[in-house]
Amino acid sequence: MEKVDRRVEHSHHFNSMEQEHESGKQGAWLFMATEVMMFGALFVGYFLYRGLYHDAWVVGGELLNWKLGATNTLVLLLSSFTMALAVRDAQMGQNKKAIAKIIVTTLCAISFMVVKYFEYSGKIHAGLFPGSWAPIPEYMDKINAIVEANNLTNFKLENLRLFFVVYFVMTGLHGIHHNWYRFNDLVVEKIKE
Amino acid sequence: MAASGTNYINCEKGVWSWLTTKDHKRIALMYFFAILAFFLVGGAFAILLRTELLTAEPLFMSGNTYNRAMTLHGSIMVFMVIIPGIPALLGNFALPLMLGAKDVAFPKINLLSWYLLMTGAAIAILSLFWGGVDTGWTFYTPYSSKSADAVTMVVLGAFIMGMSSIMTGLNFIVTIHQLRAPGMTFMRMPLFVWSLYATAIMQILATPVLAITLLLIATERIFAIGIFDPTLGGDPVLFQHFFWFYSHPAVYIMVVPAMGIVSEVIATFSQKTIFGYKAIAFSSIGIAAISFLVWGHHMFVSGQSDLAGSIFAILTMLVGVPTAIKIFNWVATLYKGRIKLDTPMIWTLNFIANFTVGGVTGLFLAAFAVDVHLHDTYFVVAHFHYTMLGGALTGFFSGLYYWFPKMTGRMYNETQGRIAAVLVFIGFNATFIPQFIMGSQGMPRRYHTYDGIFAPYHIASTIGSYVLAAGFIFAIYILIRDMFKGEVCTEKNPWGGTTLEWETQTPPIHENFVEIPTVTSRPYEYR
Repeated sequence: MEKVDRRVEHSHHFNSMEQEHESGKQGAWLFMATEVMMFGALFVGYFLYRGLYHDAWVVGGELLNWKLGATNTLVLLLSSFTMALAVRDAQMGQNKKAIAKIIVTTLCAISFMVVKYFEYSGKIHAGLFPGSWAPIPEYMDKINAIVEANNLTNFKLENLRLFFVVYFVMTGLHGIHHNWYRFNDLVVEKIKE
Repeated sequence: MAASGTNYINCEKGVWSWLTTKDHKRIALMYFFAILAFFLVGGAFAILLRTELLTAEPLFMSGNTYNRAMTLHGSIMVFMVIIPGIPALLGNFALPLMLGAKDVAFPKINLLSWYLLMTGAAIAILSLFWGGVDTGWTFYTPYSSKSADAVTMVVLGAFIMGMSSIMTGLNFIVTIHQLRAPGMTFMRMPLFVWSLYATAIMQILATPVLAITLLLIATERIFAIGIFDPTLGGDPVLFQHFFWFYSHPAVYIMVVPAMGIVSEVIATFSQKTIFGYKAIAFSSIGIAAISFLVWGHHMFVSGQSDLAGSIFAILTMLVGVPTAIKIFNWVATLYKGRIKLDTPMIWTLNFIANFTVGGVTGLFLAAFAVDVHLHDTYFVVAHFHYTMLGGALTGFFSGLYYWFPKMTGRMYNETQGRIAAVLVFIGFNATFIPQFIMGSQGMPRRYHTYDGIFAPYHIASTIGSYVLAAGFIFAIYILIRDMFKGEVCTEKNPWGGTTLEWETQTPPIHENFVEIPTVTSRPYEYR
């Protein structure tokens, strides 16, 4: 296949650059639809179990570290923002600026994983990883205190384990997914250069 | 293959030019060989199963081996043959040609889909060497979370094949929206294109749910956590909801494109304007829409409430409406047509006869009081083979023979083609009619043994399956042989079709059309 300079000339099977661009955009939106369906299923599972085991969800929520969670939310919002700016720069033809912003985005991705590391290791040390489930005494006291303070009569420890199953699966898959696409973005950028 | 002038087959040479091709027609040919090979493997497992069932006592397989062979038969046929069969192979070949486009919108992603299918298939088949899988193709939990076999491998293989299916669907939707020739409005698109459009919607929206579900099973097994495993607090019925939310639309992913082929073939070989173009086109979309709302009919005996059961039963019966619309329109097209009984037409008539039986028995099963009796019996096995084999696969073969001259530049042997198609019809019905009878009498599915009273039905079914296998092997033999040795055919339009793929040379050039045609009317304007 002949080499084509994509910035000036459209690929052989399109009629115009606009048509090629529109197709790419449509493809990206359809891909987003698959993402919604994929994570949608996880949310269905989350809400189903939340409804079934409400009391365990209250306890589980109290055991999470909201400060680390909030930090990561900010990191994600920032990375989306810099990515959007990078797209704008690329459209204006300012490739150097765009690349700088993509680097910031990538740094955000790395710091996201660092925060996640501290969040996860805290849980795992406390014996809250569902695969090797054995909450340490200190946490058992915490759990009991939360149960008493909120008068959670339907609380069962095994349901708390399920809470952490859902927690690790959802956040873990999100983390893997997040890094995979950052990686892909980088590769795509390299190819385009 | 034919060599008269430049065409997409001889424009580049060497294995590497095939493995790196971005031409949709070459990718289709690569699917052709891969999918027919998978079909022969899946079929071989079916014959082993039927042979084992000649006697109630073990003949040459233990119960465990039987379960593994049954799982592989199902997984191969569903994920590697029928789902990719029509869209990825025939859709890839015909869709850009029918639209008057030079290629699909994303040729590289198209090639990636082929490699994903190959990777997923390799992983799934290699699981045989890690002990195989005995869960059945549905991977029901909690058994699949506990079963010591290579479930993780097969599940990951199916996950990767799912990605392939999503990418194909995405490619087709964008192609249909963006790359239609001038004048090709939606209402002037061939009906096969409409059916691929409906299929692609289902592929894009349903397959991700299967993907995440399979990933959850793998996670559950690798980390020993309980998402679906009730002993660890999970809910196995949630798995069934997730699984069938994909897998019910998946059966329409398999059969709707076959309906598209039937619409093409029936118009061409009746030489008559298709009856109810709009009705057939919209009923494809209708099936796609309803397909997302009926998954609960797989779970009538899984502890679902009566209310949910009634709702799912009614919604399921609704699917019968667009399906029947299609069948009536096809029959009306035949009426007073100049019918030519060439091989593609015989396969298509096979489809209409068999699929009607499959559809009507589907209504029996949708009635949830009746389903309690028939659930998990051979009646269900016969029902879905009438839709998947008698329906989807005969439609697939109809399309293979229909586009064969265009694809290869050669003509197959007509007499032999007809004999193979008729053999399949006889063998198919001989195999599955006994299964309806014994199922209604209580023969449970997925057992390697049976009560003596079912022996005559099992023996009849096994003999039928040999005829069926002979028919399919013959049909494939003809295609492969005549692809290389058949009579050269350079006629643009050997069948007298009206869609755009018949306006370009045979086989087409790399960019499909020397000059992109302008469309001024609907297809199928015969008289």
